[in-house]
This record gives sequence, C-alpha cells and structure tokens, in this order.
Amino acid sequence: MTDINTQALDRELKRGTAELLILSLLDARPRHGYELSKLIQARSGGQIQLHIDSLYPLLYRLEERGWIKGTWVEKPNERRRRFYKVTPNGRRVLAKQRETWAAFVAAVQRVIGDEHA
Amino acid sequence: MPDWTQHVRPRLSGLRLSPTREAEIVEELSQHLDDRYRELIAGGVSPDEATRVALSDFREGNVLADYIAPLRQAHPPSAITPGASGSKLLSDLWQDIRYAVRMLRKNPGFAAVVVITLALGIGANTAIFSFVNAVILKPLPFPDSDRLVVINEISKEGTEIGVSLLNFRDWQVRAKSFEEIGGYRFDTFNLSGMDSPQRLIGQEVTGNYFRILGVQPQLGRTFTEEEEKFTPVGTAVLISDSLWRTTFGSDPNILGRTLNLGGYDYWVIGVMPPRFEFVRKTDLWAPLGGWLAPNSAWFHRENYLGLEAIAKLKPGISVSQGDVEMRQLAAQMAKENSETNSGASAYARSLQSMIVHEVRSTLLVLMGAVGFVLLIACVNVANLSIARALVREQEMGIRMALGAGRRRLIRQMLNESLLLSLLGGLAGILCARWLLSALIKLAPPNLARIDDVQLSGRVLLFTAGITLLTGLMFGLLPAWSATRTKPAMVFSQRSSTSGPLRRRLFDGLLVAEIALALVVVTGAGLMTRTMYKIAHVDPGFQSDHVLTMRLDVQDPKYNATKLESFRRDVLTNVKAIPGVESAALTLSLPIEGSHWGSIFIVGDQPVPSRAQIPHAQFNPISPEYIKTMRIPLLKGRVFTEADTEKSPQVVLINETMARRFWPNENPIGKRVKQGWPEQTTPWREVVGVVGDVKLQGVIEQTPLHLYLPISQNSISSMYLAVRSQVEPQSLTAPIQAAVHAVDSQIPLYEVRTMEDRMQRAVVSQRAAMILLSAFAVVAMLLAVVGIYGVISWGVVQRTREMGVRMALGALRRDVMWLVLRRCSLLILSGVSLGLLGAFALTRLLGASLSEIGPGKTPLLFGVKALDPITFIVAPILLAVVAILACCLPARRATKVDPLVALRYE
Repeated sequence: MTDINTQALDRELKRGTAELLILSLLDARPRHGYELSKLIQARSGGQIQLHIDSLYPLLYRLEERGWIKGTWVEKPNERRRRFYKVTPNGRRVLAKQRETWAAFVAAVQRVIGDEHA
Repeated sequence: MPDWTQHVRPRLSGLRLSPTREAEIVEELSQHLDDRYRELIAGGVSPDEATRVALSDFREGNVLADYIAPLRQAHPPSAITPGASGSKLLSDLWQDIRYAVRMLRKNPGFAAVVVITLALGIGANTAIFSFVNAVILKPLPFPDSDRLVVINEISKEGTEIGVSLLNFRDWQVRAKSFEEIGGYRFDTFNLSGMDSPQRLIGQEVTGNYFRILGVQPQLGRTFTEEEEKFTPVGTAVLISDSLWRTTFGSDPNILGRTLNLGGYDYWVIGVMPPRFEFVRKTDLWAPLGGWLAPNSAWFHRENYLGLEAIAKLKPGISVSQGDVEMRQLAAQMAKENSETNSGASAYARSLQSMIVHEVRSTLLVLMGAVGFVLLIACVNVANLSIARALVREQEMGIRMALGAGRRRLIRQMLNESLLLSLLGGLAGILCARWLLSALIKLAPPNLARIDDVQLSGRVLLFTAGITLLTGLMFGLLPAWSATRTKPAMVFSQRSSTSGPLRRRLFDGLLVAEIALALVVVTGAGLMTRTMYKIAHVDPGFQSDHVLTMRLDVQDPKYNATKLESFRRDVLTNVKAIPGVESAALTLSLPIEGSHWGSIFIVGDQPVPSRAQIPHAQFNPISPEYIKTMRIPLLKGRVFTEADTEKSPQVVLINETMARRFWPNENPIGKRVKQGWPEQTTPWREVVGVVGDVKLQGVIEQTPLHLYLPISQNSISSMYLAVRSQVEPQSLTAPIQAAVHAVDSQIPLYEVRTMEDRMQRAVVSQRAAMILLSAFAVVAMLLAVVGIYGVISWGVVQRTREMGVRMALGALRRDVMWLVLRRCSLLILSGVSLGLLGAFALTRLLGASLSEIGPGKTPLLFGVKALDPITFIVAPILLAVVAILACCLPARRATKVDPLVALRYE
C-alpha cells in the first residue's frame, strides 16, 4: 500500500477501474466478495487493496446495473455465501472496458516511455 | 467467533433499505469478516487482535453507508401508509395531499357538494368584500387624504346647508385647526357650438382647492389671482381628462381654446389628470371668484348658494379637534350675527366618511349577512365531513393500530379539508366574478368609487384568508372527532358512532346552523317589510306614464320675455306630439328634492323673530303641472294661462302648509310672502290647496311646500314633465325634436320616467332587500340540507333501536314522534339562540337618524328593528321548513321492518 493510496483508488473506483478489475476476475468464474478482495490484493502484489466498505457497495452497484449477478450458494457444513457472476450484458461492458483500458495504458506508456527515452 | 452483526448493522441503519435487503448485506459482510478473522487466527494472531484487524478494514466515518446511499436499493418506492409516524414534514405533506386527492376522487359526489357549497359562501363573501374594500377601506386618491375634511353649516332645522359666502370667509380667517379652507360649488354648463349641445357638470372652486387636494393639472396650470376676480363675462377653466379625450379628441393644442358655455366664452388653461374626481364626476372647473358679482346675493350672510367647504387639517390636529373648533366658532358667529346665524351650527368631518357614509351601513350589514352564510356553509360541510369520517372510522382505526399518531391523522384530515376549501376558494373566485358584475348593476349608479370595485390583490388576499379559515373551521371538528376512535373499537362489528359525545357534536352544529340561518332570514324579513312599506307609500302623485327631463337655458340672449316665449313654444310643440296628454315645466320634481328653499312670512299673522321665521320649499310651475302629475286639488283652483306676470300674484300651497297655518280656516284668499319682512318681494294670494307630495325621496316627511306660477317667477333651469297615453320612453325622440325646434343649442339630459326616478330614490333599500333575501334563501337552503342530512343519519343509526321498539309493540306514530321530538327540541334551541342573535344584530339595520348623521336615509323605513311581525314570522317560517326537513327521515324511520332491523345484530 505505498504508491496507490486509498483516496486515489476511490477516485479510480468512481471512474470505473475497480469495476474493470472486478468484472475481469468474475469473467473467469463466479467468486464471492472475500475471494475477490484477496485476489485483487494478491495479483496486484499488494499494490491494490479494496476495503470492505468500498468493495461491497461496488458489487451492489454493478449488480443494480445488471452487469453481474449475485446468488446465495449453500454448501454442506458451511454458511451460505453470495457468489457473483458476470451477466451477458456485463460481458459486453467488460470487452469494451478492456479495449478502452488497453488503449489508455498504451497511450500513457507512449507518453511516459518517450519521456524516459 | 465474534458477533459481527453488531458492527455491521449500525452502519446501515441510516439507509432506507428494505429489512430483507439489510439482513442480506449484514450476512454477506459478516461472512467476509469471518473469513478474514479465521485467516488472521491461522496466521497466529490473538483473537482480540484478529477482531481488531478485521474490523479495521472499515474506515473512519461511515464510508459503507455513503457508498450504498446513492444506490437504488436504498430508495425503495415507499409504500403509502398514511398516518404512519414519520418526521419528514414536506414529504409527509405531499403524501397527505396525494392521498387526499385520491380519497376525494373516490367520493366525487361528496367533493362536489362541498366545493359547490363553499364556492357559494366564499364567492359571495369575496364579491361583497370587493365593495367594502373599494368603497370603505381604500384610502382616497389624494395625498394626505386622512387630513382632508369637509366643513358644513347645519341649519336650525338640523339639515346640512353648505356654507354662506360671508361665513365661509370668516372661517378662512378665524379657524385655527386648518392649514387652508377652500370652497367649491357644483354647477351645470351647456356646451354649445359643437356638433350637438352637451350638458357638463362643473365646479366653481376657490384658488386653493387644487392645493388642498394636492393635484396638479397634467397640462397647463391652475388659476392665477387675477383670474379669481369677478368678471361679468367668461373666465378661465380647467377641463377633465375624459372631456379632453372624448369631446376634444385629446387635442394637444387645447390650451387657450375657447369654449362656448351657456353663451359666454371660456378659455381652457389646463387639463386635469385622468381619474381625478372629487365628490362626483366633474367635467370642468372654473374660478369661484369670477361669479361673485359685487352686491349680488352672494354677499348676504343668510344666502346659501350651494357653496361647500373643504379643508386640510394642520399636521397633528385630529378631525374631532377640528370639529370642536368649528362648533365653537359657529356658536360665536351665531352670537355676532344673531339675525342670520342664530340656531345654526357647523361641523367638520373626514372627507372619507362623507363620501362613504351613506353606503357604509348597507355594506356592513351585507358583509355580516354574507359572513353568516359562509358560517352556515362551514357548519354544513362540517356535518358532511363528520358523517363521512364516521364511515372512515374503520380506516382510521386500522391506521392507528398500525402506529399512526393521532396528530398525524388529524393533520391528514385537515389536509383533506384544506384541499377541499382550496378548490372551493378557486370556484368561489369564479363565482365572485360573476356575482360582482351582477352586483355592480344592482348598486346605486351614483355610488361613490364604484369604478374601483374589482377583484384586486387585497380582495384575493382576503379570499385566500377566508378560504384557509374555512378549511380549518369545517375540518378541525370532524378530524378531532374521527380520530377519537380507539383501534379496538373498529374491529368489533358494532360501531361506536352513536356515542353520546358524537351525537352532541351533531346536535350542536345543527342548533348553530338554525340560529345563524334565523339571523339572516330575520334581516331579510325586515328589508322585505321595508320595501313593502316603501312600495305602499302614497307619493301624492301618479308616477306612471310620466316622462321627465332637464333643460337649462343659460344663453344670455334669453331675457325674461324671450324666456317666457321659449317656455310657451316648447310646451305648445310638445303638446302637439301625438300621445302626449299634458306637459308642464317645473323647477323641482317630486322625489328628486327641492331646488329652492326659502324663508317666508304669512300675512295677518304676527311676524316671528328672525330666528323663528318659517322655512318652506318653493316651486315655480307652469299651469298644467298639477294636472300632469295628477296631484289632487283639495280647495280653490290651479294656475291658468291667465296667471301672467302682470296679473295679481298668486300661490298654491300644500295640505301640510294649510293645516299648519290655517288649521280651522279656509286658506283661500290668505297672503304669504317669500323672503324677509323688509324685502320687496310681492305678497301673494293663496288661490288653491293641493295634496302633499313626497319631495325628498319616498321616505322623508313632506315639508311646507308652495307653488308659484312660472310666469310670475321666471326660471332658466327646469324640468319638463310629460304625461303620455303611450309608453313614455317612446316619446323621447319626438320631445327632443320639439324642444330643438325652438332652440337647437339647448341640451336635454337626465331623460327618465317618473317611475325610474322613484326606483332610484330607494335603490339602496332595494339592493339591500334583494341581496339579503338572496342570502336568506341560500342560508335556509343550506340549513335545510344540513338538518335533513343530520336527522337522516340519526335515523339510520337508530334503525336497530326502532326495530326493537316496533317488535315490542311500538306503533309507527310512536316511532315518528320519537324522531320528531328530538328534532323539535333541536329546532327550538336553534330558534331561541337565533332570536337572541337577531335581537342584537338587526339593530345595525335600524340605526336611527341620529346615529347615521344628518341628511342620510336609514336602511329601514316604516319598520322597527325589532318589528314584531318579522320576529314572529321569520322563526315560524324557519321552524316549519326545518320540521319539514325532519319529516322525511322520520317517515323513513316508521318504515323500518323489525325483522330486518334485528338482523343487524
């Protein structure tokens, strides 16, 4: 938690970067909230952490938009968990967001790459 | 494992999540915290530390709630549970209003009846208040109008007589309360030299008149000192804006233009601003000084030539202080000039009160009556609302059981009644617009400031006020009563509605309604009796088939001889018109008031002291006047063509005069003389006695009245009276042609039938009667509807009781009696209460002469304010109508089938 502080992440969250992260992770398979938070933290090498109080509102927002869908799943001898999966609509949005992100990163890279060259 | 819910749930409490959704979120987040906790424990962290670390993922402040709040799930479409306790005032209000609209749409009949009832009440109040506002409340359109006063002398007989010039000049010097005292006098002018002759109303005024009123001409200037001096020819004049616009087409070069007025040349020096009007609509203003020929009649202290005074009080001096000073000054002047002024007094009063005095009492009475109608309407609507509230008792009970607070329920019911009164108020404004145009037609045409009568901002504010008040009045009681329901009661089948308290409430409203209605009906009864008396007053002449009009011969070319031939030619021409029975010229007409009052002395009787000299009305007439008006000749003869300027001087007297001076003698052959003993006016011989005619209005006593032959007392301003065998109006054009054949420059004006003049004399009584009767009918109708409704409801409530009684052997008549007895008791209480109210309030109608000031007509005539007939008939009428309204439901009660009634159980 050094370079990207919470406030900045919150701003990103509003802009949709966090949405992209979540949609990407759920694209592979359905996951529950805690798993999502662990995955984001692990895969970002600890650079990105989603707090419990931003993660869940974000999930609810995506669900309200119809991009993901949550269902309670019960397993024997375990408390039920809520698993989220991407809807077809969410998949379309994800494809678009990936494109935009790639273009954005490439653009940023070009700028900073030129600077350091 | 810690209980996470106690950490999660409070963070969600500020959100409006549905309970299910909240539980889900709590569960999901608890699960997350569990996973984290377990992981920390597995990593060797102590339980306490694990709990702390897990919870530390919640940041400071309630970020969770902040992020969830914008989501849709935090804004569920709220289910309407009206009356549920809540705290958001505005959203509650909106909810209440939507609910109220829905409730009313479900009961369109109820809503319609309420709105119509209120529209009538509010509309009538708004219309009458428009008058009160324009005529009484609005300040006069002059600067410092509260400091403007009129000053008048009062003769020893107690009548207002204006002021004599010499007294006026003394006042100007001696009175200390006023900044300035100015004078004015109304006069008429014939404007000739235009397309058609026109008769104008003018005022001759002192130079300070415009300064006192604080007005300046919009064009030109006021009079110079030079122009205020006497000239034997024309003078400078100012003209009104409307004369300038209509007759002179807003001619920009009007200043300096010469007008031919009555044969003299006048030149225009200014145009007054639009809507400038003092006392009466005036076309032009001329300097009074120009009229005051030295040694003329003006300069005798005893002569009253129509001059009236207006003054501006010094700042800080009250009207009553000015009044006191004028009375003292008049008393002092009476001592100094005992021959002319003895017994006379003077008074000052505010201009505003002078202008509105006559209509003030009428308007206040009407305002009162119409207020009562609104009250009755409120009572009725309250009745309806209570009855409806009873029907909704179950709804109220359920809502209270669900936790709705009583205050909240009352507020919601009040919202419903306010919504109704708002609709009623809007409909009332439409109603008022319509009523207002009808009222303006009904009002006396010369009513001061009638042009200002309109639905102005202040009137609408008043309407809004009474609308709100109405809503509260008819809403509060039902709301209070309906919410007394105890939730438990509604679930038991037997309703609590016939509880004694509720019944008393109904009874009270019913009694109030009858009482209010009785006051209005009594007032209307008194006015109807007054109109009946007025209609049956014998005016002393026959008013049908008589057409009258005025003409003034002002041109200086008319000397006495020419005037005589003019009169003869006019009468000859008019009498030649087919359909004309007779025609006459006269100085004054009955009803319209006398144009010449004078002192006189009687021959062969001791001359009284100057202060005691009698006063009578003198009227020069042409020979056929008595015949044309069909005034009965009691003794002697009427005038003939043989009574000329050169023949012996003669006079006719009226019956009152004959009785007063020659009670036991034949007055024929006696002598009288107009004027002071030392004056050189001729002695006249009484040749006939004629019946009394009403001279001033229909109501006032007939004064001493003398008729002189017009040939022996030439006049230039006169009425032409024509008795016709045909519809008199149809003769207007031929008569006009006949007069103009003699002189085309003489304007004929005020063309009216004699009957029309009589109507106009009693127009304020007539308007009051029509309006009060209309209000009385509405009041009775509303009361009857109210009584019927309440009694019917009572009968329905007691259906079971009736059934039981009949099953136990009661006869139909017993049951009917049961209902009627209760009605009678209520009606009796209402009538008694109403009588008390009427006793107190009808005095307003019967204000005596001394209360309303000299020269004014009281509203009642020939009837006392406590007229026994009215006070017997009105209650009986109302009681009978009320009983009839009870009979229908009472009869229905007797039709109750015991078996059906018992099945109610």
